[in-house]
Amino acid sequence: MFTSDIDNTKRWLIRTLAFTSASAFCALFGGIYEVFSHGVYSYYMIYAFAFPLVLGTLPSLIFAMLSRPCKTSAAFDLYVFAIAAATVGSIVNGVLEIYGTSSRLMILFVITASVLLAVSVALAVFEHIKECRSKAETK
Amino acid sequence: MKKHTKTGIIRVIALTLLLCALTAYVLLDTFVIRHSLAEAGGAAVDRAEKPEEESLTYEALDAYSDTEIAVILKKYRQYDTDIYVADIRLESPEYLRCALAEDTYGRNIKEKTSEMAERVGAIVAVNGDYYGAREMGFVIRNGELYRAAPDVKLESLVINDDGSFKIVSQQRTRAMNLLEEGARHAFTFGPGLLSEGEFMVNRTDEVEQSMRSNPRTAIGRISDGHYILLVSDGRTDTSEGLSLYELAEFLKDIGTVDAYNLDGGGSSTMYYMGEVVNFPTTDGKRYNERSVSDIVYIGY
Repeated sequence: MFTSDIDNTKRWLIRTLAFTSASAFCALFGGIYEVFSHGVYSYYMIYAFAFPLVLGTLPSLIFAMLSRPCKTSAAFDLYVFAIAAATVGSIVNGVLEIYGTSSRLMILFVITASVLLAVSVALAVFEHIKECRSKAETK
Repeated sequence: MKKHTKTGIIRVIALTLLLCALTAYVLLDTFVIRHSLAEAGGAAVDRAEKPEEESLTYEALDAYSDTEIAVILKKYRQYDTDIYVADIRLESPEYLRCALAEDTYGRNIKEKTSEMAERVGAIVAVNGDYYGAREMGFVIRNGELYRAAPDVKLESLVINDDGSFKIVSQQRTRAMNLLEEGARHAFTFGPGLLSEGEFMVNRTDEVEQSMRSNPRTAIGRISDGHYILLVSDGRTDTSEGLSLYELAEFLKDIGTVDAYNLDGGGSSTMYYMGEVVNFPTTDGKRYNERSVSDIVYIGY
């Protein structure tokens, strides 16, 4: 294993830890909110923690195990904010449900998260292709 | 780890601001920004009728009577809960009326039940279905259609011009048709509790994801011109609150034939002759009368 591989693993593990912390915070927040919601519950509030866990912790852990290159990029930033939009949207929807109301504007969270996710994936693919080309040119 | 460049930092700040702004806008739109959509337009009691026999004991708190309207305010103690019942007899169903907060139909336009009741000169009033908390569901008040968009998951209580009650599925009904068929009021909350004396709820039914026992508000019909407005306390040390089934069972026990669950929890408030008679509360500790969108009341 090369030093760069160890660095990559370490970086991915730091990201894993960050996503796990966010997930734990959401679980705690949802739990406390439920305690004070007079027995009214919302699945959106209870399971908001699943977004950072499934979309953040798991992929980061897999990339750490595979020692995939870990870089700070626009694609990654957008991906993180896509997860954040989905998580915050889920919590807000939970708040509305527990209050007993709804909002047509909730669709904005879905659109924001979807657009950010799509752009981040497109950027990641674009960056990957660019990197492959530059490697090929160097050879 | 490679640090963010200046562009990267700007990107992160921009995305953070976008998310904060989106969240703030949704919450403000839902809870704060007022959406005013329309301004509200808006018997000799059958004493020969023999009162229905009641198996439950109650304390008569007060009574009101004139040529058109008679109300007996009763307090029951059932299921470890204080239950307030306004037993109403009307010469004409037109005295069963509704009022909107600030006489305006819209979202985030709210007023306390007691304030609305005071303003319209109600003899007795309870909170309505809090239509403003939802974006869908039929809203017909005093013969005016305010919202025709159905909430397909919910049942609607329709009170017709002749004073009859009908509980309908919004999935299979159009608000315009209800109006044409003589609907005077249509509420969206539910569920229906009793229809023609039959239970419409079972022991496990609840309002969406609510807890089992809660303060409740309900409206019922015993016979022509004979109605019930009910509010039960809950969440407190002295009143546990009712499940929907217990509410339906209690209403059936006092002779109600058709009954419908209105907005409960912290909204449950009964006003009678200038006073709130129950203990409205959200947290079970403090008296806190919630501001709501609408009331159902008896008056001229």
